[in-house]
Amino acid sequence: MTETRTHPNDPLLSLRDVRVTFRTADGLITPVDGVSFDIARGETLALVGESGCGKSLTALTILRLIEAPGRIEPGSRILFDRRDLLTVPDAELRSIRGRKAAMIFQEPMTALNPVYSAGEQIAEVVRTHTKASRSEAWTQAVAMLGAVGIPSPEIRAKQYPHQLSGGMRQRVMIAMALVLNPSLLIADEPTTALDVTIQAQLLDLLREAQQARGASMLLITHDLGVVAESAQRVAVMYAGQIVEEAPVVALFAAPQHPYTEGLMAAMPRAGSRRERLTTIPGTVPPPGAWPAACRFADRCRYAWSRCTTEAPPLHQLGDGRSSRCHLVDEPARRVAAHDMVGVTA
Amino acid sequence: MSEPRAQRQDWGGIMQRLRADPRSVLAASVLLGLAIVVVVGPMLLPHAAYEQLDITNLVHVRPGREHLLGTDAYSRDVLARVVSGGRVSLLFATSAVLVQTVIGIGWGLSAGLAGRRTETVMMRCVDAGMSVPRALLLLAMLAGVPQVPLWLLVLMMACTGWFVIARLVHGEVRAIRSAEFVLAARALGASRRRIALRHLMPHVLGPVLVSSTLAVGQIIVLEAGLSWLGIGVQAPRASWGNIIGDGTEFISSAPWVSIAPGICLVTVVLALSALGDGLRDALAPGQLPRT
Repeated sequence: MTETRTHPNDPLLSLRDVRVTFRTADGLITPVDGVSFDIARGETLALVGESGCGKSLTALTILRLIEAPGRIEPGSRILFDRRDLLTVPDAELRSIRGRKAAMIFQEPMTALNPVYSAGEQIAEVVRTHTKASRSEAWTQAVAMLGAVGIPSPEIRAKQYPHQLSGGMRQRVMIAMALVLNPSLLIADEPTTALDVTIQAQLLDLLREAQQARGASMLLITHDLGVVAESAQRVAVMYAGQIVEEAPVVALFAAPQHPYTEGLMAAMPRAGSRRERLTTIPGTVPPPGAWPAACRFADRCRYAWSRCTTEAPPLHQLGDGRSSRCHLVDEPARRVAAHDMVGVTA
Repeated sequence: MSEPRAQRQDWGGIMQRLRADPRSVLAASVLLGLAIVVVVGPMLLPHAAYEQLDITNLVHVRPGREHLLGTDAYSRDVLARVVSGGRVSLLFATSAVLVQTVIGIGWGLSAGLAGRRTETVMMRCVDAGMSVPRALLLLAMLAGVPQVPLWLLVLMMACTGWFVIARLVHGEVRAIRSAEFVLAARALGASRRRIALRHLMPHVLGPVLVSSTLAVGQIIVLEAGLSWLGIGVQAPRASWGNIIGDGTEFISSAPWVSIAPGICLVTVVLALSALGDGLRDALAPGQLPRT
């Protein structure tokens, strides 16, 4: 289908105040708490954060894949191509999933059905959404396997997931996602399960495929190295909220939120003379145990009394930057903290 | 979180393991042999199953050259009746199992994919069905119908027998419905029906096959019991059950009438249960064989 109305300046995807709650034995928790961001057409936005901060759940929410006891709260809005995905009827939603917006999962060994061959799984996507015949779908599947860089695709298409290497399995997943030319790719830690050399190859593949098709991508990762290589903009998530958003270059030049700063300090750097990597003390607290005011306060090196009494808003800093931190109001405290470190060191 | 169990059903490998198991091979050969006998037998035998040869002179003839398995109280040839009755019993049991398997798979899959409330209601219905002894259910249903046609008997049998399959399928679906490949299929636009048929079905077929094989034996025995009580397969049509029933009256003077169908029945049920066990082992080669 060709879109007659294209609005190049409109974002392709807009999340507004997305909230996901889960009913648990200990009461209601909100692991995704008011997330908003935009992805422009052709743009890659990286969603970054530690495990348990709500990244993957946010991704599943976009295609309404949250199941009971999870619930997407009313008031959340997800505009994709000018339609609110949270209100479209089920049948229309199914026609969007896989065809206009496709998802790539982290662990291809479990995300591929072990009883079908690689070719069958790709052909299955084609046949779900188009009227293609069995043999047409198969031809398309084989061509797609070739396009994602699998050698001798005719043979590989007939093999089952357990007969393929990890990298090839993830290429098959990518082929499934790309085969119908979706305008949005949601890649949830697509390279985390693979070793480093394969990671780089697959990131290149994803980026090339996305650019060739003019697709947008939401790239979920905890690896800032991946971000620097693949994304134009970054949203950093902590404890269910976006805590900082910025263009990738600006973010790396000067992170605003202490959490982002901590993530970067924890990154191994070539040529660094420090022997040990810096870590952020503690872990992401589980939803339900989040501090009432600033959720990062108990792990933050700058935290002062205000941080435990007043929740910081997401301050807009201009140039597409924002930070959810009181330091925006009192930048002097950041400098003071650094001076103190200097004194003690 | 433990990974949901999901493995590729490798039917070639299963056949290979089955062929390497002498018990399964023997059981399968016996069943195949019997099936051939009951299909072609009636065409080759000299007497018909319903034919009363000579009601004054040929009643309860001992087994011998003329009548290999003797004759019964109505001067009918027992061999002809056992072969024809075998046809009825086997066909009856396999068709009832086929119907109950289809119902059970459908119910179990739907319950496994339905919402939590529907799922609970559906599975409590299964529990309720399983809590009443099957023979009792059948007796209650059959009490109202004076002359039960065979097809109705098959349906009633199936209607009281699908609970086990439904529970089995539901259990399998529960184990794999949260598998990531099911989520991935949904993320790529597959409907609930498509997920049930394309993604879940292949994973439940193995265990269902084992259970249904064993169920054939159970139904043959159950049908025999009902026929013995006179409410199963109706005379003059023969089934192993009603031939045994006919013979019990004269068990001391003409035991051969009941013994021949009795031996057939025991043989088939033993063979089916051996084959079922063999299939179970062939499907899960990693596990220790049952002793």
